[in-house]
Amino acid sequence: MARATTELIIINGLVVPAPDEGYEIQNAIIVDAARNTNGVTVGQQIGPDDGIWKINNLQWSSLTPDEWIAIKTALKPFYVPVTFTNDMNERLDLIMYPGDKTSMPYHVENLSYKRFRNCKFNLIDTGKR
Amino acid sequence: MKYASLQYKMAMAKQFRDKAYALVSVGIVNKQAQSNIKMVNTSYLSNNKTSLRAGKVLNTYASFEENQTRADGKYLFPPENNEFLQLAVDVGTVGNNILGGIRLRLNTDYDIKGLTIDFGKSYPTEFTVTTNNVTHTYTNDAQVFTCTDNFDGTTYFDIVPIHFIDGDNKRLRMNYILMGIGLLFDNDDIVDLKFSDSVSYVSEELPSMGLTVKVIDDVHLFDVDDTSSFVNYLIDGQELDVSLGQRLADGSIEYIDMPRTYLSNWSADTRYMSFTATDRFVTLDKKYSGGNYIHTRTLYDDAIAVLTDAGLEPDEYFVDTCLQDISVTNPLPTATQAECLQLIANAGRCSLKQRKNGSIRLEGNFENIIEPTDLITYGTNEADWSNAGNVRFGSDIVYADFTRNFAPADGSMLFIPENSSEYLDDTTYVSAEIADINGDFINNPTLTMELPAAFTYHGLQILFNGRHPQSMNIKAYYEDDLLDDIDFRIRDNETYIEHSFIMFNKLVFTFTKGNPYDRILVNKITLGELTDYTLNRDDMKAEPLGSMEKKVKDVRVKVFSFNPPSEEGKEPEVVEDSVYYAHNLHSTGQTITFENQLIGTEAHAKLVAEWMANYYANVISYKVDYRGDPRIDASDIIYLESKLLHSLQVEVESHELKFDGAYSGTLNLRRATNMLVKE
Repeated sequence: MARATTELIIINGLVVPAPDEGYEIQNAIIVDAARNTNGVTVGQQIGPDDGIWKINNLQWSSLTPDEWIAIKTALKPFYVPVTFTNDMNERLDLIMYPGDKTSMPYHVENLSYKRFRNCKFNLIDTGKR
Repeated sequence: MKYASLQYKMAMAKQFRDKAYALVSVGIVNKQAQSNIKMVNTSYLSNNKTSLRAGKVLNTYASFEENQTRADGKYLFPPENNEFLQLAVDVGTVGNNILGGIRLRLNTDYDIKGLTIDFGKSYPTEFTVTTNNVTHTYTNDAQVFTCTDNFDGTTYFDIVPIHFIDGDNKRLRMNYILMGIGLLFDNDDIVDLKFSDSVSYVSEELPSMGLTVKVIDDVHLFDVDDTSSFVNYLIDGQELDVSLGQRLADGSIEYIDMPRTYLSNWSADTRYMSFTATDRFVTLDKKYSGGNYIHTRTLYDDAIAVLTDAGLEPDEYFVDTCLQDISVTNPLPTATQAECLQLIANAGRCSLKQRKNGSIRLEGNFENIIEPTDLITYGTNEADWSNAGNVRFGSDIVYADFTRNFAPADGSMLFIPENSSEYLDDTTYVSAEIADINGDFINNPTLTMELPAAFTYHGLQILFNGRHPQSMNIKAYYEDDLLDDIDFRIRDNETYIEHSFIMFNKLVFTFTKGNPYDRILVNKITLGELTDYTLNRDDMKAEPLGSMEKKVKDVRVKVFSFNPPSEEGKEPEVVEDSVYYAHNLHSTGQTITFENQLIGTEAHAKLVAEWMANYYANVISYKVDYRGDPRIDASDIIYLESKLLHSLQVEVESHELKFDGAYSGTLNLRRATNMLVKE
């Protein structure tokens, strides 16, 4: 049975099933920093003003092959548009790329998997705005 | 030192600097205009940002237009549901209406040379380009259209199609728009960039400049094996311009144009493209023999002759008129144009450098500080007891006058002698003209100050006697070229003008509004600082690495003599008489010998030897890693913050600036001369 979908995360136009709880939203401002001769940190901002976003530990405890294949197909161009809600409750449209995609085949029938467990990957912001 | 606004200086001094930006263009591109384009009348399916960068449009949406829905798998369907609209980012600009125009709106007026538009496969065969000033109708037979027309003072472009190659029932599409002819890279493309600049203070060797830029090429725009690759458009010696920007407190970006460099090498792998560029002197490699005979002329004549031979237009070079004061008779050797310029610069005590737009500059470099006696000042329409020349020094001698509020009985003023022959010579500038009831003059009083050569000064101070005028205008000139024309309000008798006057040799002060029934009385004008830049310890990433060269005992300059050639068609023959002029610096140390065959008299050798001795008198150098600032040029004089010394002036011998999203740099500095050589 397919999981309920939610518009919480849309990857390359695909409204993906609701992920398990426990994923993390990470946000980092990139700074080129050094200490000056007075021992004070000086720096310069690099990258987008709102920082670089990362969705860690996106995980689905159980997906049908159709669901998992649809997600992997959506991720295939590598740099893909992703719409999600950040931890400021703002909807963001970013170009992101996935980390390693991992799945655990659960049920095999006629050389095909019928279900996957613990499907997971991270999404990382390219920084392009 | 390149010009920058006060806001820029404040932004660069911040402990946490805002974002930095880089724009690199190969060809002739107005980068400021390119970065300020807004497109109007475009479809919601457009990505107008993508079409401002080369090679970024990879997809096209299918639509119900003629030849726009081929079933060849190369078109994307537009998203059906606007609610979750995730438009492809790699599509270009599409007009809103069939045969409708697209407007490119600019934030201000720009002078743009040429236009490049990649229309994609469905290109118009006829279209018009209309700006606020001109309309051109073009016929076109290619996907990529280029023209070299001038679009001066342009605030917008309207591009309107008339006919298309594959049917007229369609909208205008643009995959790439460039304000000029060439390629443009920005922060999204650039991985890193390194700019190096080095100038010999006494022109012992040619200046050098180098640029390396690494850009991302993930769409194989520069694939060397592809016959349609952009690599095929790159030509050795092509102009490569870099502008480095800094975001200011108000969110705007101020760009600083780096000196132009010329493409020398490029290479590409599957992911990156690297460009290497050098200075203009490398391109001046043709032998010049036009001066290789004994004749009397000035070094200025020689410099112009060499630059003209190199094909430079007058607006592409600057030769300090101080070279007109140095006559030579010895032949200029047959050498490359660059080497000839270096010999002329050395003999004329100039520094040779390349600056913005690739212009070559020979700047007088024999005086760092102007003494008041070096200045010439004169006024127009002066009172009989005025001495405008004295504003160089200032004076306590002020005559009481019966203009309003100008005769305090405090003993500070003298009565005007009844007999004009008894006027003292120590007064300063007093205008003959008296302002009317509104403070206006029939002819505004003016005061002119001339300098012996071109100089850069940051700020100047004016002291007034009596009641200060309300406003004035300052015009800065180099010869007859107007460089600055600025109006100032005056709020105090002691007025400091905070403005950088760059390479000028004449200032004209015009007093545009005085006080009712008052004259203008200027007591003293003092030029400001040679530099407004201090390299603070806050900006240094490590302690300066100091080094001391060997002491110099003598600087010897050879005095060359030549005999006419023994046979027609041969070169003049040098007389081997070993005549040198030696300038002693220390009792021990090494001897520096310098030979420049343009130097043919002892007086000339003395001038050059003293100038070089002045340089060698200081043997202390510093290498400093710092936060980086694109403003700094090699040959600049700056202050270096020191734990031991106050106001330590140093010359920038070389500067290496890196950009990888943030700036960093390395400076090689040499203590500036403190013993000034005078003629």
